[in-house]
Parts: sequence; C-alpha cells; structure tokens
Amino acid sequence: MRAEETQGLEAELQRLAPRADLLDGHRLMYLAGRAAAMAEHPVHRSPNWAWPLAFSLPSALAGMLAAVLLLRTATGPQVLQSLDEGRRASAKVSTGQERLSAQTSPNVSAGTPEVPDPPAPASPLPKAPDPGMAATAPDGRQPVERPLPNPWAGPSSPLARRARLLQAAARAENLEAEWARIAAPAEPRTTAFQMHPQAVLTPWAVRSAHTRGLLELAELPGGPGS
Amino acid sequence: MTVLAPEQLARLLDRYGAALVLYARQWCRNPEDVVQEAFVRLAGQSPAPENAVAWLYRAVRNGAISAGRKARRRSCHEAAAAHRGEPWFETRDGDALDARQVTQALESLPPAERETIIARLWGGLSFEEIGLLLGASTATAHRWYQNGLARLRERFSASCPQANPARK
Repeated sequence: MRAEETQGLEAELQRLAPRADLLDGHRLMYLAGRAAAMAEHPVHRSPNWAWPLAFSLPSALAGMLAAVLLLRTATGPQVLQSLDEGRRASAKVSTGQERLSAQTSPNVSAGTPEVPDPPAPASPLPKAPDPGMAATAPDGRQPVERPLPNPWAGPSSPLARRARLLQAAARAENLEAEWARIAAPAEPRTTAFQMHPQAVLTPWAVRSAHTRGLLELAELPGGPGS
Repeated sequence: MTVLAPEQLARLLDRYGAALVLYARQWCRNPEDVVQEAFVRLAGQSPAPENAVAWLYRAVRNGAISAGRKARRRSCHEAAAAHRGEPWFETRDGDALDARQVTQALESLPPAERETIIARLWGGLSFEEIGLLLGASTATAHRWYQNGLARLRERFSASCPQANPARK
C-alpha cells in the first residue's frame, strides 16, 4: 500500500512542469556556439599588461629625456660661465703673485728669465667686464686674490652644493672687505660726502659708502642730527 | 579535443533545461542565468564531459549556491521575500496538485531530501548520480528520497485531503 501511494505521488509530482519561462533558448544556443567556437579556435589575445606597458615605457623615456634637457638648459651656461671665471681668476692671481714677488725680491726675480704667461684658454662665451681687477689702491698695493671656488664643481648633492655656495659667498665677502680696506684713503675725511671712486666698483662698497656719507651729512652743523 | 555538438546541446537544453532551472531555484533568485552559464561552459568544454547531465547538474549546483550566497550578502530580506512568492511550477488546469502548494511543501523539506527529490523526479538522475552529486552513498540518497516523499505525502494529506493522490 505504501509503495503504491508513493508511486502515485511520484506520478502526480512528475506531471508538474517546472517553470523556465525566463530561460531564453535562442540566446543560450548563440552563446554556447560562440563558446564552442572559441574553444575550438582559440584567439591568441595579447595579455592585459601589454598595451599599458607599450604606452608607459615610451612615456617614461620621453619624460626622462625632457627632464635631462631642462636640467642641461638650466645649468649648462652657468657652469660654463663659472668655469670661465675660474680660469680668468686663476690667471690673474698668478700674475698678481708674480708682481708681488718681483716687488719684494727684485734680485731673485731678476736672475731668472721671465717666462711668459700662458695664454688664457679661449672661452666660447663673451668676456664679462671684471671691475674688481681694474681697481688699484692709492698706495699702489695690489690685493692678493685667491681664485674663487667654483660652486658648481665637485659632488652634485644638494647639501654639498649649498655648502660650496656658502663658502664661495663668504670668500667673496672677505675679498670685498679686503678691497675696501686697501682702497680706503689714508687721510682722514674732511668733506661731508667723500666717496672713493673705487668704492663704486662693488655693490657692498657703494652701500657702505652711501650709509657712511649720509651719517656724516647728518652730523654736520645745520644737519638733522646736529 | 572535441566539443559538444550543437544538436546534442539543443537536446540537453530541451530535456533538462527546465529541470535544471527548478534545481537551481532552491538556492538562488536567478536560476535561469545560472543554467545558461552552465550550458555555455559545457559548450566550451574541450573535450566534452562523458556524462554531460551529471556535469550540468554539478555546475548548476555550484553556480546556484554561489549566486545564492552573493544575493544573501547583498540583501537578505529582500531575496527571501521575493523567493517566497513565486511558484516553482507552471500552473495548469489538469494538474491534480496545486503548483503553489507543492512549492511550499518542497520548501519545507530538509535541503538534502528536497534536492534528492527534485533531481530524481524532474532531472531523472539515478540514485548513484545523486549520491555522487551530493557527496553521499547511493543508499543514503535513496533513503533521503523515500523520507522526502513520505513527508510530502503527509503534508498533502493533512492540508488538503481531497487532493491526496493516494486516494485515487
């Protein structure tokens, strides 16, 4: 009895048709055919990273070249100019030292044949006026010049370059102070505003002389400070 | 390296398409998509599986369980409400059993028994294939089937004695 009941229930249940109204047979067959074709004749597609790589590599190379070009245009002429100035400064220092040695010990220098200075190397850049070397102290003394360090030579790390720049600036200030000391007139000033012509040569000397003159003007009788 | 022929695929779709949709409906809201994906994957299989029906049932089962998990993660309550409303069978006048009532009865069964009954009655799988599909022995699959049918009979006789097919 139980088996008959079970068979009857099975038969009744099997008569029910499952719902599959949303199953699109045509679309399914189309997709299946495409999948079968892809399985039989696989298309060798390039991997996903090929195109991005092919785009990014030339872009990075172009960027690097542009950066190199910008750095070269920014630093190249300055380096050449500073190199040229360094050469000229070293040549002038050598001539100044020879003159000083000739003044202090003429006997020694008289015995030795004079060796002409080697010609300065030709510079591709136009020569800038050198106001510092055109000045001469009133007592005929020549300042002892040392070649300015080239801040662009040497290691190229930012800290090293900054240290060299500071060192060059300090040395330049020392030179200016030395110039001011040598070029200053020995006699005491009696005029209200006396500016030595040599002081015009440098901005530091101009500034100091201007300030000094204003102070002296203020202290004159009838001035604002009297 | 031979894929399934289009005629074989069409025959499988005609015979097992709806049954597979019913089988997948136990777990997810979009069983048609799961079945379609399984058929497309079967068409791309090279070489084609020896037992295509068993392969289809396994692929549909895995896909439906995965889709059901994703749907539950998205909106659990919404999915449950929508799932409860629609019957799993077509409503026809000549049927002795009500489609909505059978759907509710099947939903009330334990999962293993429900799965066994659907695969056996509408999929036509043997108990051995069902055992392989569910990871159980043939005897266990047979026992699940008998227990499930007994529960269904009790439910139908209790809820609607007139529609009890055992009286016929």
